[in-house]
Amino acid sequence: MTLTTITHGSIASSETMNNNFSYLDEKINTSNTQINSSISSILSNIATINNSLSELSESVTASIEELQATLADYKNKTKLLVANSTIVPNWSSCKTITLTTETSYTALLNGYVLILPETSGKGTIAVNNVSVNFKTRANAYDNGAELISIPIKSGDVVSTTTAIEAAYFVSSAEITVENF
Amino acid sequence: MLVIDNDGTISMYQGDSGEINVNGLDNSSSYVVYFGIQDEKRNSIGEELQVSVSNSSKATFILSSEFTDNLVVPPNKPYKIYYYGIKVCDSTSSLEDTLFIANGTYGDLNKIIVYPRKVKGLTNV
Repeated sequence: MTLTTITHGSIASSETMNNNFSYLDEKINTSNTQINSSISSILSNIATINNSLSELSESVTASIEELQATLADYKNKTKLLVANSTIVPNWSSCKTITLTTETSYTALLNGYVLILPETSGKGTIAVNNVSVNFKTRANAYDNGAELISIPIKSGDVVSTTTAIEAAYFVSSAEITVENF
Repeated sequence: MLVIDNDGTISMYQGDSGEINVNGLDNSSSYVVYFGIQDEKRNSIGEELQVSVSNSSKATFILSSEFTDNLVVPPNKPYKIYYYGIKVCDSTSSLEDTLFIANGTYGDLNKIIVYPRKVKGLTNV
């Protein structure tokens, strides 16, 4: 079916007019169908994009949660590492301890043992049976010159074969790592 | 509303809207997915719907009420059966595959059973 051109000023038959109307009606229907299909396609694309955004959002959320868990784990491990590997003396806890050639000292906390050997003291000092030799002390000033400081951890046993004038224990301060 | 059976047969009223999801696409590729409807004489009904999918496993087709209004049921029939197909075209390799619906194979027809509308509603007044 085609559109018949009607010359301006001429008389057109009802058949020609009806054919033209039918032609136009068909064209309008076809266009309407195409437009409706296009609208459905557009809506479909929007829905599909929404799906993609949802999938992406879920993926990002899952990645963030995974990352946060990993970070929290690293934070805890780092805190533990810092707390367990750092010994900062807490001088307010300094106390005299008994450490003689007959009596060893077992540390209850991490900290430092401070030892002042007697003049001319000779022998060894040992931590958990691992010993080192003392310098032979011949003069009184040797004592004043050398206050021996040994870092030890909880449970370590300190013993000596040298006469000790005085011994002290300074525990380490508790390390807290907040807002790390 | 559309009802999709296990064998992929779609049932609906003329002029109702609905959604069809195509799942299981390779989400590492980009596709254009087409949805087409034909009558028993293989005449296309309306234009094929097309959706661009990129890095997603799902394509969604929205069948608007205006679109399904083209699925006409003859006045003397209780329903009319149309047929649909879905084709996935890879944007990068230009490969085109018509999907087998619900474990179908060549020659299987994917039916849309359309029942005459009962209510005009918003768009068919």
